[in-house]
Amino acid sequence: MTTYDVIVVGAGNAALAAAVSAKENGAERVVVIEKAPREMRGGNTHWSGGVLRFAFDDPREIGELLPDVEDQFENFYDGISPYTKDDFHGDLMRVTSGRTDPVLSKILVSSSFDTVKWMKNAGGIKMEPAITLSAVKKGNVMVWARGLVVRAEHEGVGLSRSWFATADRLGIEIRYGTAATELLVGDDGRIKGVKVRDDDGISILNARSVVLGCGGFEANVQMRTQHIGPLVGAAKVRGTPHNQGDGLRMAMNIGAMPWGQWSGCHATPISADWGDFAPRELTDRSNRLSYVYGIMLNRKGRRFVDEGEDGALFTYAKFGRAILAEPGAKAWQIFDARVIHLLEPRYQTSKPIVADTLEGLVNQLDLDDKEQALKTIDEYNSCARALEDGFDPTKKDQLSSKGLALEKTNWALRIEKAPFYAYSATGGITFTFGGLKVNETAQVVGTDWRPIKGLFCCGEMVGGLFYDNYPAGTGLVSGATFGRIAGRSAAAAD
Amino acid sequence: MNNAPTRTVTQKLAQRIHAFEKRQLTKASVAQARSCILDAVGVTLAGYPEPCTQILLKTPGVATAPGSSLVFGTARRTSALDAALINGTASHALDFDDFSGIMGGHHSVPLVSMLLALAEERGGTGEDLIAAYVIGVEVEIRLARAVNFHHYDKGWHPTATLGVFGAAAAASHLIKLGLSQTTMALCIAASFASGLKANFGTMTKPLHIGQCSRNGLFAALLAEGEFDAASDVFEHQQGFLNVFNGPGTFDTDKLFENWGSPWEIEAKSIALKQFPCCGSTHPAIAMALKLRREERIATANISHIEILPHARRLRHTNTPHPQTSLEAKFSVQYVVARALRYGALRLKDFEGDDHLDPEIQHLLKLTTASPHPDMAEDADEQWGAEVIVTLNDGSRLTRRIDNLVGRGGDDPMSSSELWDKFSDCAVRSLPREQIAPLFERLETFEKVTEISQVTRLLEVSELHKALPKKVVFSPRDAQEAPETTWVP
Repeated sequence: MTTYDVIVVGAGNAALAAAVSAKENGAERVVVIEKAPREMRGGNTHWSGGVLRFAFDDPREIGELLPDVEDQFENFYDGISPYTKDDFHGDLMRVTSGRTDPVLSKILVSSSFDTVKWMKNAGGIKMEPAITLSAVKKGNVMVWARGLVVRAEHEGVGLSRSWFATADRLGIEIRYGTAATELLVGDDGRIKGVKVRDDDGISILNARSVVLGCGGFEANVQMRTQHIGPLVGAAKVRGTPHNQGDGLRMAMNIGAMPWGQWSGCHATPISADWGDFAPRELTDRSNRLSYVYGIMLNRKGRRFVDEGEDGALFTYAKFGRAILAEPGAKAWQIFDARVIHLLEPRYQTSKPIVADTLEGLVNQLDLDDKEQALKTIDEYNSCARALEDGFDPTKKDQLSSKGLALEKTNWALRIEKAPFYAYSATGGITFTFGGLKVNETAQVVGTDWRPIKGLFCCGEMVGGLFYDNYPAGTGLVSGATFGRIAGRSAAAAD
Repeated sequence: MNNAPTRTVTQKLAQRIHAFEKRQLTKASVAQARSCILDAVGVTLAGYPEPCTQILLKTPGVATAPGSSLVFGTARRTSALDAALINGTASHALDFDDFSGIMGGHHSVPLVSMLLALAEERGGTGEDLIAAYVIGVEVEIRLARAVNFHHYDKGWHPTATLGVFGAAAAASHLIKLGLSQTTMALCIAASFASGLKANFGTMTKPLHIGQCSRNGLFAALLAEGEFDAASDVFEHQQGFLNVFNGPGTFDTDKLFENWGSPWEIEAKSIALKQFPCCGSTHPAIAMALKLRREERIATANISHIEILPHARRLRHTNTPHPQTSLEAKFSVQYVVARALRYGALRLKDFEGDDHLDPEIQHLLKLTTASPHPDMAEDADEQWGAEVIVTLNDGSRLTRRIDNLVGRGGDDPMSSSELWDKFSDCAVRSLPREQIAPLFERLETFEKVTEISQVTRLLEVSELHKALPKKVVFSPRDAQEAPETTWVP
């Protein structure tokens, strides 16, 4: 039987932040239990864009994170607006319709910059300007989006790599291919360890405290169907296939309280070219969000949403679900030669179907009614607009179709210039919002409203922060913030 | 042939290649193969923009054959033969790839891009490729033991003249040729062996690698179709050994003694090149980096840098004031100054006017280099160096190493060092977002189940080329900053 000070379950950003924090706060024997094998390690962090949202008053403060940035870019700071704690909290409130947990969201926002500095200094995470992800192109210049300036160097893969390198440097043991299956509780109500399963069978690891940082249930079809519904139950998984809700179930089995929006998740349209799980090597580049510049057809050859209702940022969530509701949970996004250069770079990860005529294109698609598809495009084209009518991809251009039963209200450009392109799309789930109730020390609270001694949690498992949506770049900072707190609390637990 | 009373060298060799199975791979051989394959892919990406690769690609009839094998760094697909030619040439364009002291050459480049190209055409897992690679390296280095260094000193380029056999063996193994076909592949390959050291220092040197990997594959594909050749092509009076080496200058027993125990890929003499400059400067660079790291030296405090390499390492690298980027690669003074100032050496340090960096120019004025007084000219170890830094306060800091021939054996490159080199190389051909996932995938190459998991990250979409390169920021205005349009 092996005894540790702290067992961390999971090996993504939050879990490794907890492990590093526990070590730095005096825990000597820290072990990370990673269910995935070495080649699949790192949880959803691997798949993330690595963007870090945090509050700052003066853009020059960011220089601490990006030491050489002024050598790389002239006038780097001139375009960055301050992003105060109130701004950050306001954004969090806005996208969650005011439902974000008041205590946890305060902790997240007020320590966000400090957390990111800690990620750099204690975590050894290198950072870089998040230009390609967060700067918005306006004409010939880039405009910084609010609050999103920094990301981990080489995105989620780089972030994951750095965390593992730091854990290794600090002498934190990582056990790959080891699944935690049960939390062990003593008669005194304290956590005393975990039961694990690995290639050699079942064994028990003892510890003074356990930190759960092993993700939500996005990869678990039963839990998705049960908690979010059959539509999302049928979704493809964008991230790790290992986030099966194990930690949530283990904790609830010993009385932990579910918290937050269990019916909620982050989901977007993604390519349908792959199986149930998007390929790991393509990381977060499975998204297919440029439908605003074209139209989407279902298998019956019909449009089913107003693709140009608003910018993709405001429609992706519902359109992801809308595609799932169509036959075969699949759609084709159709573009012509005039807009193809506007597609997000992430479209590079799949090969479009290409043809010199619309007939040629439609014939290659797996549609049940190809005649109808051509008819739909013809009808659309007869009501859609010309380039010179004022097409402007940089803003809602009000270029609306005129006379369709289902209008396209912006960017309604005719699909008429060869070659024509088709990309497949379906709905993909990123992560789930439902989690556990934790207090301000990241300690898990039971359904009896009493904290469970020795049990802490972090990352996607923290319930109550996100409802309906979340501001981009918040997940990783939340993960590191509560991971850091959980590690510290776990090290201090007697 | 099968009725021959004694088996020929080729037959004995083919038998061992044919009998080799994945389960014979040791942990150490897989680990070393993984590092070498990862490194070879990196240097290939670095070599793609080089003139030798670009001229080759523009040559009529090259890479025009239809096929499923990728030209790295493009969206272009062609036959495995042509992809091996182009990617193989790119892999050695910068001479930045790993090497074997016994071979007197580079063991990986004849094999790696060819195997990837072949796997795209015919299938194969990461483990299959590692097995084919390990047996290919075995053949190359075993042959080297039999023919070197007479072979090398005579003027052959062993990477090519021996690499062609390694490529034939590796390709035969990957496509699971039978014993007689594998024998024929080696025999056909013998007539493809070529590569003269007279062409070192020219574009033709990397072309040797493209040629030998293509030809090794070509031999295997011909053999698969029952093409024939002479089974005694090695020992024949007019065969490979007598013609390329000459009577009495080779020892075929060395080909087979202690076969596979351990595998040649596990040899300590196999090493990776960490820095993109002349290998003779590497011991001094390593000591400069060590000084910087361990003593936290700020270059502003330096009053004198004294570099003392082994005499044989200094002769061709004693360039106090390099005038071109090529001279900078052969300037121990320049590379040590860079290492002390920036803590790293990157490909771009040897491009454009980077050698004129004013801070480096300043350090060069404080630098002297001379042969190390304690390192004898004819000592067994000839790859040593000492670097002594004197600070303004008079303190004298020194680091010394007696022998450093690349990074391998007991001093392998760490994962972080491999990444530093790989990312520096890959950025020359790949969009940034593909580099880290590719490295991550190659780091567990033996777990790759379909080769497309790797090659899709080596492909550069035509869409990518439409993206703007230069970033101009707008000054912030009175309006509130916009919401990001990026969706996680």
